Amino acid sequence: MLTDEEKNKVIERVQLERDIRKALAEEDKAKKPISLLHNIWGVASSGLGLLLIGGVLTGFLVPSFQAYQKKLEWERQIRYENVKFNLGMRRDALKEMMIAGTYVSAIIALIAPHKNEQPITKDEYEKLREQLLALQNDRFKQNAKVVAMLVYFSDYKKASNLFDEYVGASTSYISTRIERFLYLKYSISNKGVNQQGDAKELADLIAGIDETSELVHKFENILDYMRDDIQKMEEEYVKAKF
Amino acid sequence: MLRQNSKGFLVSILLLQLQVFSLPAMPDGGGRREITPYQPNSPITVATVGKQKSIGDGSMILTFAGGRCANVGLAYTRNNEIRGKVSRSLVGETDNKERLTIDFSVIEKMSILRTTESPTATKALFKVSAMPLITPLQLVNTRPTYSELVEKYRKTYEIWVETKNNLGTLSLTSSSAPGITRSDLCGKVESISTGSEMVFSYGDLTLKNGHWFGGGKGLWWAIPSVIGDTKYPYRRPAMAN
Repeated sequence: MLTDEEKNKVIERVQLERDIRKALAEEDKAKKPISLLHNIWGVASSGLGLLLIGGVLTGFLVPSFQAYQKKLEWERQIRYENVKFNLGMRRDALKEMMIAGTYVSAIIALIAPHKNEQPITKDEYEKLREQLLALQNDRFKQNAKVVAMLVYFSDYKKASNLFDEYVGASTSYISTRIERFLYLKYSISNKGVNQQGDAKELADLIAGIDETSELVHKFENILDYMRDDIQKMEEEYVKAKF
Repeated sequence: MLRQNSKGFLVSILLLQLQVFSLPAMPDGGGRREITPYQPNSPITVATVGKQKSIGDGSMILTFAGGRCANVGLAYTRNNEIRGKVSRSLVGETDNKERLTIDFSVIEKMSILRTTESPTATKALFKVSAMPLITPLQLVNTRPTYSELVEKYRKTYEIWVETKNNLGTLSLTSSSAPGITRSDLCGKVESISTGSEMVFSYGDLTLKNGHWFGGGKGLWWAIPSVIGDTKYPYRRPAMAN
């Protein structure tokens, strides 16, 4: 058994040891401050911290991310719809352009049986003029359809200039050659007109009426432009789709 | 998704409409029509061409450094008053003393090369570029193309014209409309400096934004065989008819 004196000494030693440990711990603490991350982690790993983090994630970050995803999807969808719509309109414009090109051929076919120097009667002349007028009206309507669709092409100014050049050349061809040719065929037998000049002009028209290379060239120019532009749009369509 | 698609579609339509309203001059589908005083389904005779030529002679516009004379004419004046008839052509003689008359409707441009003075008259040597130098009869009989007119019927002349003589001083006149007999003084020929260019243009034609407009009454030579040539320059939008 320890005496009281011995007991007191042990207590004193234990007390001293505890004081030393405490002093050393405080010294270590002073030397090495606890890191911010450690503190945050400490707070975050607490019950309240976990509750707050959960709240932010479900209340703000997840909806924002979902909205952003939706926006991207919406933009892609709009782009796809636009490209699809535009491509459709360009393809339709090409079809209408091809139809517009057939009117000059129809007019040439109309006068083909009369491509000689034999005069035509007044009845024949009037009938041919009526048919020509009907074809011209249809041609103008068809041209107007094409004009309205040129806005869908990427370079409207270029498309409209090329189309205008073609229409200008075909209108000139019809009015200065076809209409004049028909009139001379009818009037050549009339007395009182300048027969020498009319005969010369008629012969020149017969020789030159098949000369349509400029018209064909201008038709090809607008057609080439349309085809190239449609091809570019088709490539864009594939990109927009996937 | 359907709602979003329709929104996108509406946006694209709206953008397209905005694009349409900011477009450059649109083609109208009618193309271009040749400007000519003649119809394709009417006879071309010496009388009709001659009539148009007369209109052309009286409706030219002369532009020069000192001004612009509409329906230009030439007349001798004294004390700023027109004496005698207003002429629609340049009348003079060549170096070989051959009399020469060049109507205004065929003159493209002219300039004064030099002047000489004698006790009886002052003369100016004009250099005149003319096209087409063809008569209505030749035009009606031969039915040339525009290229042929330019190639065969464009000439340059040098012609001596009396700018001052016993009739007075040669002056430029103008009138408010073609065919109006009353003319006003537009300038004196002697005040036009040597070498300065005087350009004639058709009174019934205007050039706007690269397109010709007008009836082309002065284009007396623009018969169907001429305008059928793709080189013919005077065309107007079909909707301007």
